Amino acid sequence: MLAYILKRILLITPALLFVSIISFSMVYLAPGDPAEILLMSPEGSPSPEAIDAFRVRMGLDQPIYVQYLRWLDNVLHGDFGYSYMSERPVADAIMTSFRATLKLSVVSMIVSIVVSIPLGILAAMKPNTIIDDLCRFGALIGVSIPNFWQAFLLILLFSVYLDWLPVAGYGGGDLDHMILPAITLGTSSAAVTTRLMRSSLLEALSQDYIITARAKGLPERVVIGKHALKNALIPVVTMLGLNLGFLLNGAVVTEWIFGWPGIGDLVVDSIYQRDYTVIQGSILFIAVIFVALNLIVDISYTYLNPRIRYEVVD
Amino acid sequence: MRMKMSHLEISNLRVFFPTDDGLVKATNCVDLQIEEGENLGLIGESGSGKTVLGMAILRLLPKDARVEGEVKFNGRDLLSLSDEEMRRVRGREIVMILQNPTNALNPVFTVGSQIEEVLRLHEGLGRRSARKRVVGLLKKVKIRDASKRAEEYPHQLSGGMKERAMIAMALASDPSLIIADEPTKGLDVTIKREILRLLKTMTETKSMIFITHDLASAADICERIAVMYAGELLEIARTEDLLNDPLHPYTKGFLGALPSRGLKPVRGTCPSLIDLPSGCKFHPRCDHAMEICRREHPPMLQREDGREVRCFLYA
Amino acid sequence: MKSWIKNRNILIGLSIILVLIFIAAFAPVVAPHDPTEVNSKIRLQPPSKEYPFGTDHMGRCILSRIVFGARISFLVGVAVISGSLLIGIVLGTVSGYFGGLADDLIMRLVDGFLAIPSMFLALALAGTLGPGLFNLMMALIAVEWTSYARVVRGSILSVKEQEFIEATRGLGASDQYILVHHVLPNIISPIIVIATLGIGYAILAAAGLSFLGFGVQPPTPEWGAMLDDGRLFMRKAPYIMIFPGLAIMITVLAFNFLGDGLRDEMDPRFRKEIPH
Repeated sequence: MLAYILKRILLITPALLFVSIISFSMVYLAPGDPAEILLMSPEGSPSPEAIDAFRVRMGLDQPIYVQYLRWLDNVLHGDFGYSYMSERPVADAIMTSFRATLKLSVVSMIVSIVVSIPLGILAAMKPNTIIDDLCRFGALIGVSIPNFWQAFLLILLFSVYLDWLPVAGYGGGDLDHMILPAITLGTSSAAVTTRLMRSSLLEALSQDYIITARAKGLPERVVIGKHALKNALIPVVTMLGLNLGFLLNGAVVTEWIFGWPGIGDLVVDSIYQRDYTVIQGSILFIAVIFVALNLIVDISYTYLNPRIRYEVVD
Repeated sequence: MRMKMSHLEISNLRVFFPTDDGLVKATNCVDLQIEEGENLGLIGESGSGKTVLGMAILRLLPKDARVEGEVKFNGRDLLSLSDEEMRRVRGREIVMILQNPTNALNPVFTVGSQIEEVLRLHEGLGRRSARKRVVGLLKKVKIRDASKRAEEYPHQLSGGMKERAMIAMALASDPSLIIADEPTKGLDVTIKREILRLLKTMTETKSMIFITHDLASAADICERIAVMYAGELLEIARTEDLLNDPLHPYTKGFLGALPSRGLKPVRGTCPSLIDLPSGCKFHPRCDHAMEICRREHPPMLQREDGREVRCFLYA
Repeated sequence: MKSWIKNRNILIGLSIILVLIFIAAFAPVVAPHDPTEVNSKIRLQPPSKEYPFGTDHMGRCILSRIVFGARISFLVGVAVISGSLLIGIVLGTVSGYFGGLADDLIMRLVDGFLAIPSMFLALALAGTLGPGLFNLMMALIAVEWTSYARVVRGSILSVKEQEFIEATRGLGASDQYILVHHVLPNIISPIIVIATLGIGYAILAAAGLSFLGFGVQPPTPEWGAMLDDGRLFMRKAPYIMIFPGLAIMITVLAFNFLGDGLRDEMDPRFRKEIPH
């Protein structure tokens, strides 16, 4: 098992290297001189001396590959540089915002699971009926609805008209402020999970061991609830890791709309402000998280499935 | 005139499946009796409907299957029982050992726990006593290292061991009728022999329907044999009679196709169960087919010597 | 082919898309007003007979803007998919055909792109490249190309492994022949499904990025940008943001219906198994 994990980690290292190159070099696509743009103020364009001084201070006068290597070296030591805007360490900003995203993600996942698993099971139990069609249609809506629109509809209903919940903000991370963004994120994730739960359960129910279970005289609720479900949940549980990644994507716009200071919000803000070091650092960070999540998904699938976990004896 | 009630009495059993391609007539007018303690071999090619027949007895077919007729077990018609009543019969009085133990066992539960389930369900045993009984059962079916095997998952066992485990699971609640579907399929010769011997000993006081395409195996442990083709029974006789003096042309052909008898296959292929031939289902492949065979459906003839055959040659 | 017509998903998806294409193609005729015509005297009007979807904060007819917005959405969708297809097929072919170092490099590149969550990648690219529809499309192409590359490469690799290829070569078949006759038929079905769903995704992502302010610039009537406009007037004039969002959802839904339906048709059909 351990050897398998190590092998997988080794395989993704070159990809991560590419990621670091992509993250770093992305900012060089931008038109204009970063120093000039950052130093631009209401008084007018910055002087050439100011620009030069800034560039030296930020290390922008070195050739690109030198800058990259220096950046990479720092990153591997945990130093993501300093924000152009606030001059605070990027690593701090990333960690603080990631914690907020994590909080929101956990609640969103809970919403997602609570909605999708029962619905998926229901749809599989009554295939090709109105209930099944409704569940599948609902799931399709869930993946098609723009999350920023959904967010607004929720805000409109719950904050503006009903005045039950605050419109936006962090509010110290309390539940009131988390509900609407969590519902927004959770429902799109639920849409994907519902379909998976349904197809997974249908697949399990078509297997011979279900007939054996019935032949033993087991009550139907045990046949489905124990024999079918335990098999059906394996892909769903492992996919939860991927769902988290899916959630991250949705977080970009959702966090920004609700003013939730997570890493999606951080990236959007830093792009608005052309805060390049923050952009580089956060993109790299989120990619590493994403890759780690996928790795966990792979490993847990191998672990949860007894067929793959043990060797065959013949 | 039967004096004693048969253990299992199937009357005019018809099973239909609606599919996208048409109505599948899996079994048609099946009449069959099995006495207490008797082993009956149900022989047929793939697609003859023999598995469907087995599953129909226990009402294990999918919801959209239509099953008509009567299946009397100790006098009670199983087809007229409620779902709950039927459930109590399954696994307790009648058990079915499904084909292909690799698929028939649940891959995410240990072999022991799957057998335990039967004991805890039908005898209300607690975990510890159930576990002890399971190990005992596994030993009875000659699985070595029984206590270790009980903790293993199905894929960790060989084909032969899985089959034995299925048999142990079937015997757990001491049923009086066992339906075994292809218990020796895919196993190599020595294991096959052992499994057959095991089945013979285990069913000494029980009735068994032994479903298979392997006539030799069935002949080994069954007292009577029923030959099935395209959903119908064509011939029923005592094993020795069938082997020495087959009546139906299909039976003769079936025997001729055995390696020991010349390996000469019957010409043609099995008909589709959707588009069945008219009259006698076998007539397109029969060397003795007559005009009447094409026009009319032969009834099952009860001969004076007790044998049954569905063929106009003997009318 | 017969079953395709009967497939509900394909029917629903295709009909909606055709209606939308019609609307987009004949936008000047369908739209009741000029989408860019500003009229401060009639700003923020609720839906009426004259302006069925109301007017926005600059007095423009929302319905007309949505109609013309369909053009932008389709343009983006088709352009992004075409670009991704092109890059994906080229790189996938190079990767599968030449193998070795080229294959390794390209696959690591794919992994690299895939490692970054798509929205983050698209956002960062669109943000740093600068405003404009073209940059928006480039950003989305960078996200989408990887799926096609993998499909093509996978097909080439599996064809390579099959033994009859040696036989075909022995008969004098050139590599181009093999590519056209063996690889191509293999990849058509999955690519059609991926592309259909991809257009839906591209439209959704483009709307999201435009909503954030990247991509289209005013006064271009793009659905996502219109939602951004509607933010400030959420309370007073919610219709500014309700209708564009609805338009996005219906369009993406249609492509998802179609893609799902196509995928069901292309997968080997699950025949009912009768025990025998």
